[in-house]
Amino acid sequence: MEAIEYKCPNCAADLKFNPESQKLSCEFCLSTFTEEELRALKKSAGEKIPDEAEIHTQHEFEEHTNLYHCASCGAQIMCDDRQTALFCYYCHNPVILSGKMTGEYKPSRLIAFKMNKDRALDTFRNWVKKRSFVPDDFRSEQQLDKITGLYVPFWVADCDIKADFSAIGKTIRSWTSGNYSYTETKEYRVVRRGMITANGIPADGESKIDDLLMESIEPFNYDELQPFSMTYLTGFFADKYDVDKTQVFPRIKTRASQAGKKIIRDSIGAYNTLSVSTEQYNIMKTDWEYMMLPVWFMTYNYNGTVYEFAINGQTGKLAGTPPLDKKKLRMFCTALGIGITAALYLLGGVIF
Amino acid sequence: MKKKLLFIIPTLSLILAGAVVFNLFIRKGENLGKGFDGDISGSRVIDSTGMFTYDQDILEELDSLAKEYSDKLDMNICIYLSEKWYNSDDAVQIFCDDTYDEIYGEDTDGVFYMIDLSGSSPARDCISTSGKAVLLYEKELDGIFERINTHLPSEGNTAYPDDIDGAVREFLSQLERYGNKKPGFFSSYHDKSSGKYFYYKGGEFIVSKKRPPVTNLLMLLITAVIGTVTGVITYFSIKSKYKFKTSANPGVYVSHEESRLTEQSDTFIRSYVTKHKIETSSGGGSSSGGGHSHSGGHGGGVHHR
Repeated sequence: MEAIEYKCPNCAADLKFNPESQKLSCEFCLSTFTEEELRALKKSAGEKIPDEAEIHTQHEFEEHTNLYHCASCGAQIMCDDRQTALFCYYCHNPVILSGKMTGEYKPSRLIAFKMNKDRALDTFRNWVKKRSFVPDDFRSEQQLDKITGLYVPFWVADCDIKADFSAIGKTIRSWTSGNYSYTETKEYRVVRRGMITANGIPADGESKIDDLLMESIEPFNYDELQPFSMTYLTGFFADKYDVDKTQVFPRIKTRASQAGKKIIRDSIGAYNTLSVSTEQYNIMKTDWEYMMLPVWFMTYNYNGTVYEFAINGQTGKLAGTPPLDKKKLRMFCTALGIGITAALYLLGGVIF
Repeated sequence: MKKKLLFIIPTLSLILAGAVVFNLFIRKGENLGKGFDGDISGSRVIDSTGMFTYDQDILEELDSLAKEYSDKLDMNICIYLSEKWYNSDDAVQIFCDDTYDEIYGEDTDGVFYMIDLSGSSPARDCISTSGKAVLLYEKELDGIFERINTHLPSEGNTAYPDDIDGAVREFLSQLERYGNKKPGFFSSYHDKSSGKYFYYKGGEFIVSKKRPPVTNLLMLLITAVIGTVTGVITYFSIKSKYKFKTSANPGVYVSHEESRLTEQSDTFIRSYVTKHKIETSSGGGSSSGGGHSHSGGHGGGVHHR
C-alpha cells in the first residue's frame, strides 16, 4: 500500500532505497529523501499520510510482496510488486510468479543494505585478484552480473546458557642441578559455574545457502536494525525461509555452547595441561526474532559444483570458496618444476 | 604481480629447459686429451740430488725400467728426486703439475712422481697425474703412497740409493697394478681448477670441459626429482588455499554485562617433584682441504712421510 506511494515529489518517478545514503533516491532527477522528509512533504501537500504503524502492517506485506518460484532449484524469492524477478539468485534459471506472500513471512525487523552493487563488486574483484588460479570466466562481467542483493531470512536468538565446568589443571616447572634434572608438577582443581548470556546469535532460515557461509560473514551490527518496511526491499530480493526456528535450534544450541565455552576457557589461567572432567552448556532460555539481513550473494557453477559467495551487505565482509582451475594450476606447477630442474641443472654445471 | 608471475615462470622455464636441451644434446664437447705419443724416451728418472753419482748403474736401471713401464702402460712416467723442500702441499703439487706439463705437454697421458729428499720435515712426496692416469690412479693414491712408504725412511732419516730403488720399483709396480684395471661405467674425475672432466666414453678416453653423459644424466635425474617435489608441494600448497575458510566466532555474541560466573575457583590439590639423572656424551673432529689453478688438467696428491 504505502510502498507504491513513494513517488518522487519532483518528477513522480518511483523512488528506490539507496544503501549508501540510507535514503530513497530518484534515478531520474537524482533527488534523495528520507522517509520522514517524504511524509512531511506529502503532509504539506495535503495528502493523507499513514503513520509508521500503519505503513508496516502485515496487510501491506501481503499486498505488495510477490513470490517467485524457481522450478529448477526450488528457491522461493520475494520482491515488492514494483519489480519483477526474472532469474533465480541461486541457480540463475528463470523464475515464475507463484503468488503473494502470507503475513507470517514478514520479518519484524531488518538491517538495510549499506553497500551498493558497485562497492560489492569492487570487494569481490579485490578478493578474486589475489587468486590467480580461478577459471577465467569466473572474473567475467557476465559472471559478476549475477551478484544479487538479497535479504536473507535469519532466526536470531538471545540465549541464557548455564555453564558447568570442572577440570584438573597442571603447572609444570623444570630445572637442573648437578647431574640431575628436576620437574615439579602442581595440580589444581579448576571449577567454573554460572549463567552466560549470548544475544543475537543468528542462523539463516534458507536451506540452500551454506550455513557456514552465512556464519563466515558475521557479525552484523544489530544497532542498525530497523522496523521492517517495504521501502528497503526496493531494488533487492528477499528469500523466503524454508527452515523454521525449531529446525535451526540445534545450530543455535551449538553456537551458544561455543560462545559459552569461549568465555569459560578465557577465564582459565595458563595451565600446562588441563584434564576436563565436566563441561556442560545447557540453554535455559531462548528468545527468538525473525529478521532479514542484507547479503550480496553470488553462485558459480564449475565442473558440476556450485560455489557460493556472500558479502555482508552491511560490513562488506566476504566469504566463499574460490573455484580452482586445476588444469591451469597443473600447467603452472609443471612449468615451475621444469624451470627449477633446468635452473638447478645449469647451476650445477657452474658449481660442479 | 601474481598474473605476471603466471606468465614469467612458464616463459623462464621454457628458456631454461631449452638451455638444458642444448647443453645435453646439441653442444659438442671437444676432446682435449692428447693421449700418449708412444715416445717412451721421454720417460725417465731425474736425480737432482746427486745421490746416484756413485751408483749410476742403479739410476740407469731405474731409468730403463721407467721406459719399460711407459711402454707397457702407454703413458709418460717421470720420477723426480728432489733436494728442494716446499713449504706447503699446494706448492709441491703445483710444482709437479707444472713440471709435468712443461716436459710432456698438457693433457697427455702420464704420471709425475716426486720424492722429497730435502731432509726437511715433513717430507712431502707428490704424485701428479695427467690424462688417463687421472682416472686410473686418482682414487688409489693413498694405497700407492702407503706401499711406497715401506721402502722410504721416515722423516728426518737419510735415504739411501737402495731405498729409492725399492720405492721406484714399488711405484712402477703399483702403476701397473692399477693401470690394468678397467674404470667403472660411472668413473669420471673433475679437476675444479681447470674445469676439465676425465672419463671414458665408448672405450675412448675423453678430457673435456663438458660433463660426462653419465654425470649429466645423474644430475638431470637428481634435479628432476627436486623440481618434481617442488612442483608437487607448490600444487598442494596452492590447492589448500582454495578451500573454504570459516571465521565465525560465536564469542562476539556474549554479553559480558549480563553474564556472571557464580563459582570461579582454582584450588591447589597437591604437588610432586620427579628427578632424572642427565646422561652425557662426547663428539669427534673434522678435516678440510684446498686448491690451486693451472691450465692443464691434473689429479694427484701429496703425502707426508
